[in-house]
Amino acid sequence: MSGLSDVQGVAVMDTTPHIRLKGLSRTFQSRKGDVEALGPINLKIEAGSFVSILGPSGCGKSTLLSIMAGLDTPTSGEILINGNPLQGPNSSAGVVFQKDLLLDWRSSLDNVLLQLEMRGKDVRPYVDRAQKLLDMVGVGSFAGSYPAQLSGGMRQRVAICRALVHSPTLLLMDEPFGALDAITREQITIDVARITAECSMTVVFVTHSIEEAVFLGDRVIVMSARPGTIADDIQINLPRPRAEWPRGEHVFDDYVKRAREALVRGGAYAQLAI
Amino acid sequence: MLSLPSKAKVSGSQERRRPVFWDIGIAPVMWPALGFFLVFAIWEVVVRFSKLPEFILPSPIVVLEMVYEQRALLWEHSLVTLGEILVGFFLSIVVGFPIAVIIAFSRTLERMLYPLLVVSQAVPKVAVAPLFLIWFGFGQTLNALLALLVAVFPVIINSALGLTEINPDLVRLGRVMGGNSWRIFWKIRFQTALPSIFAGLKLSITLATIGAVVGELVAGQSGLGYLSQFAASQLQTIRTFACIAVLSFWGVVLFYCVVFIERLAIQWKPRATS
Repeated sequence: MSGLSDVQGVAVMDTTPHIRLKGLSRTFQSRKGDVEALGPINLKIEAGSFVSILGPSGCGKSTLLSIMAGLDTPTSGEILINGNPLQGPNSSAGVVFQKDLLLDWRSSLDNVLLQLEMRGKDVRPYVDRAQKLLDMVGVGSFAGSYPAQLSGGMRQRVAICRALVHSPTLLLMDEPFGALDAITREQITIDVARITAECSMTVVFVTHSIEEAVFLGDRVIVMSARPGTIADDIQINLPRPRAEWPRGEHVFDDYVKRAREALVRGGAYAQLAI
Repeated sequence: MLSLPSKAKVSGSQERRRPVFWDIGIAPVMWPALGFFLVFAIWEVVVRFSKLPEFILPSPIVVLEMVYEQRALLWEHSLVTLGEILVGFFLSIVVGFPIAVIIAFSRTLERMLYPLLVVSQAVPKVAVAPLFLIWFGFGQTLNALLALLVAVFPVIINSALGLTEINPDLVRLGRVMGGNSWRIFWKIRFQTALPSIFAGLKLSITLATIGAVVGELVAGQSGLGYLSQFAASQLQTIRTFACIAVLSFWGVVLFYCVVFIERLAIQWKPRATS
């Protein structure tokens, strides 16, 4: 495997990156004083790329995603979307949270369409697209079912459709499979790989699973323990979508090894050493 | 003593051989019906054998005969009381819900209003009736206002509780979808609060009945409370009982009207299975 290369060494294209983080940090106030959660972070995310953000619990990776979604503001530094500072919720994005956050009183289809209702748009032109998305993730026949009738994996699939129905240019996923069982998790990971390859958009995918990060991403940003900074930035030089995982093939091994080493360096396993 | 356990076992296995219809169809209706029947049967028997004079305790059959005999009069006064109850109940929604919204949205106003509301609950509202009499005079207005006074509190508390106890992630979801406060309120917050709001309304309709009848007892010129009071003052005990029976009937009807509306509004909620 000679395909490993550092993205930092590669000449950057002269187009504006989709997301640009400049000296970004976030501090939370607590009774014991200020807690540095994140940063400083400098990062460019190119349009159309799939970036996995990998890090241990509490490293601020979810905070980072919240900042990209415009739901949290950095304490210092700035975030530029297509060169413009982000102010308020980033409604050009689609967001998938760890919990599916489906509304119990709406059918799957209506949950997907909530995305447009919230934007004050007429829902009717989008019904076909919503149904197609549900078909694509394999829950098309449950369009009329209520969340209580669906399994955890199906619910999260509906939530993914909700994040895609308005054709966002940016998809933000915050540990979206964290609440699912291992088998469902692998199935849905493969589906996400396929769907995100079909729709051309920038994806930022936060996870604490090394395998998921490497399997899905063009690039894996490994974060250190709190305060989270970038411990490594790994380019994954394999075409997407990838079908090899999780069938035990070894194309990912070197990347997984490198990501794990970066986690160790970043202090992710520090607590275990005590 | 030693033989007891085996006896219990035998009776246990006999119990399991009950016919199926017993558990699913008839039992839920039958047991309450049997309870009612027993109470009325004992009442009837006590009256027959104790030779109590009718003006102390009439038999239930005599009371039912009176209800039938006086149905025109009772209907006329029922309309008055029902009018007061419903006006009081609707006013308690019209007044209570906006207050709940204010409490749910403004931390400052919540701190200001909440203790006030709690203290106001310590005032026995029935004791306010004479004061209302001075302010509003005799009649249906007074009684409807008393119904409002008693019924408004559960509307405020339960609605405010439902509106505040929302999962903050759902609000974040709404915001990142580009929803303004108005849309987030009606499409997410309000819907989430509905079960709690209806819990308040069910309490409220019951209390409104009490408020209206108290008004009629204190200073009524018509209505079932007034009729009951008037009959009692002339030792027409059977008539008083007839009024109480009809009032109870309307109380149950009104309560189940609210339950019915709740079922229409919250169809997604999984029903408790018997």
